[in-house]
Amino acid sequence: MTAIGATMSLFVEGLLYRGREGHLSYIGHRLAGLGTLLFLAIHIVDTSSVYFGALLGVPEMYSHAIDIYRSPLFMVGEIVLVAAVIYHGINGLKIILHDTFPHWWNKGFERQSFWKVVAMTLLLWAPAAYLMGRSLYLHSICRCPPVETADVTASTNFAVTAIPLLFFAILAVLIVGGKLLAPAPAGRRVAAPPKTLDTHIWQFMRWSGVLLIPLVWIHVAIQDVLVGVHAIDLDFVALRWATLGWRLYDIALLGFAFGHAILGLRNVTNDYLANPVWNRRVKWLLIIGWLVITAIGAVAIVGGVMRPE
Amino acid sequence: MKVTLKIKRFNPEADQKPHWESYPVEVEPTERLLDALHQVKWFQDGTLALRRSCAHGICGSDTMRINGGNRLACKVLMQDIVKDGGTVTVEPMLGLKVIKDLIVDLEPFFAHYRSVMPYVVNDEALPEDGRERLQSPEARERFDQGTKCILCAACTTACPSFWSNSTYVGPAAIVQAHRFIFDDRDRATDERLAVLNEQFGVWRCRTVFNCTEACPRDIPVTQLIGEVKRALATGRVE
Ligand code: HEM
Ligand code: HEM
Ligand code: FES
Repeated sequence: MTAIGATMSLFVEGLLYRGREGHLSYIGHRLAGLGTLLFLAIHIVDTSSVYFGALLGVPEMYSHAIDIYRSPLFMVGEIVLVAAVIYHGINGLKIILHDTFPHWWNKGFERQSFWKVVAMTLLLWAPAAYLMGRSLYLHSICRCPPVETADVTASTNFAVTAIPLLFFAILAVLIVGGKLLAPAPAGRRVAAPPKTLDTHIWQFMRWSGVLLIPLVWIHVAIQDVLVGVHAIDLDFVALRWATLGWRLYDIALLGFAFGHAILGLRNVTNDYLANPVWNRRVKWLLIIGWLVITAIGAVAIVGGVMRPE
Repeated sequence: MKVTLKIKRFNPEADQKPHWESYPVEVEPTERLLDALHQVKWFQDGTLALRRSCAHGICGSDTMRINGGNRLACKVLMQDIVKDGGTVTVEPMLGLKVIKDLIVDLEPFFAHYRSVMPYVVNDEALPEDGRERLQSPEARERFDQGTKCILCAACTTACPSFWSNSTYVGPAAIVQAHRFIFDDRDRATDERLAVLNEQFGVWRCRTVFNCTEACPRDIPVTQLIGEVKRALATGRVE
């Protein structure tokens, strides 16, 4: 008990430590990552009901799930989720840049970078929050849903073009002001030491992070912001999955987003579970949870939308 | 100026847990926090326990949390941390066991320091003159930043990864490793890199920058850690 109490008070004192922008950026990155993970785990399972619902004899399972997404409380949560996904993505890109070019960074630039990340997050989030807030207002408060429904094709085309462009714009903003293209200090070459599991995981976090910006952002922009949860139902999913490309896309999303997040949670586990026995047990749980949820999601994507006979 | 020092006290023989005590002191704005602490210890309460030796920012013994962040008490001027009539909080470093008041057990910190072999390893024959191994100024410059370290532990005890799990080798030990990994006279690069490649080596770094902000010697700690990560990932020690 005292051990847990001591850990807790250390944790709280750590949060209160007078760090600077970097400390805030770290706390925000972790909160956003873990929050999105919580959503994602639930989301994969409930989306899979498009396949498993009919199989289990509860064909209305998916529409129940979507009803929850449409509740006002959940819609507020989705607006926050979008902020988390934007912040975590941009800040993640900042971390990746730092790790690739550490000599571009000094502490002044790091402080400045944090505010750039915050500014870009707000800038991108504002229009999304407006659209989602409007949908929340129309559906839940004034109860006067718009008659015209979102144009799925136009929304999709817009997201697919705009987000890759945004990616490069963000990259440019993050780089400006650093000791750009300063050559790495002179040095020598040694044989690269054999990679450990942790080297691979660290590198995967970075490659997957870069990939996830287009993958997650396009997905969220289409589903949550432009089309919106009120236009999503079994037919919508069936229509999307009629295109093989979107199925492959969802498979990639499933693999990279959930894999990235579970490995992120492994980092967090190494932080807070110092006891080697518990540390190992929880990591086994993570592996099992990852395999089971990924399998459920993958079977649904391959199986597709199932309707009762 | 008149200010209050609010100090976190802990006496292992009497206390269950730490508590705060306040001491009014009168100091010149240009005096250092260490002078104010001396006033308390010498004239008000001799039981206050703290470490300091050189009092000039060289020995690295008086790191503490000052107004919530790690600093050397002997390098902080009162005028930079408090206004007349204000309060300064002083606490021991975070993440190491408190022995008494502001004194923490630094052994885990030094164990990590030793684990990276903080000395040049070179068993090759000496140069012909039998004296020193000469090094070009550029090669010496390459690891100059790391040589400034005074092992005050301000960086390591500012690091969230270290607070939550002190198995992490920590920024100071990585800076020390960097100082030898990037020294072209050294021949133990592989061994040092292997230590840092472990699960609780350099990969625990989350690029928080608390270490860089805390360093009283202005060492770009996070950058040096980044360079070690890169060396591990690519084999380029550059
Ligand atoms: C949108 C693009 C994304 C990028 C660029 C990105 C980037 C990163 C990077 C670089 C890290 C490593 C941080 C470090 O080592 O200090 C990380 C950690 C993490 N990511 Fe992501 N990520 C993205 C999306 C996601 C998503 C969608 C999730 C959840 C579903 C997620 C969950 C996590 C978690 C839980 C961590 C661990 C946080 C920590 O250790 O503090 N990430 N991310
Ligand atoms: C509230 C916002 C979101 C909505 C409304 C939403 C909607 C949907 C819909 C309708 C599908 C069905 C397949 C499709 O149409 O392509 C789906 C699948 C999927 N979504 Fe989302 N999504 C949201 C957020 C996210 C986020 C933030 C992530 C990743 C971090 C994500 C990851 C996935 C994955 C992996 C699948 C495939 C699920 C499976 O295998 O069963 N979604 N989403
Ligand atoms: S007393 Fe020596 S560094 Fe402060």
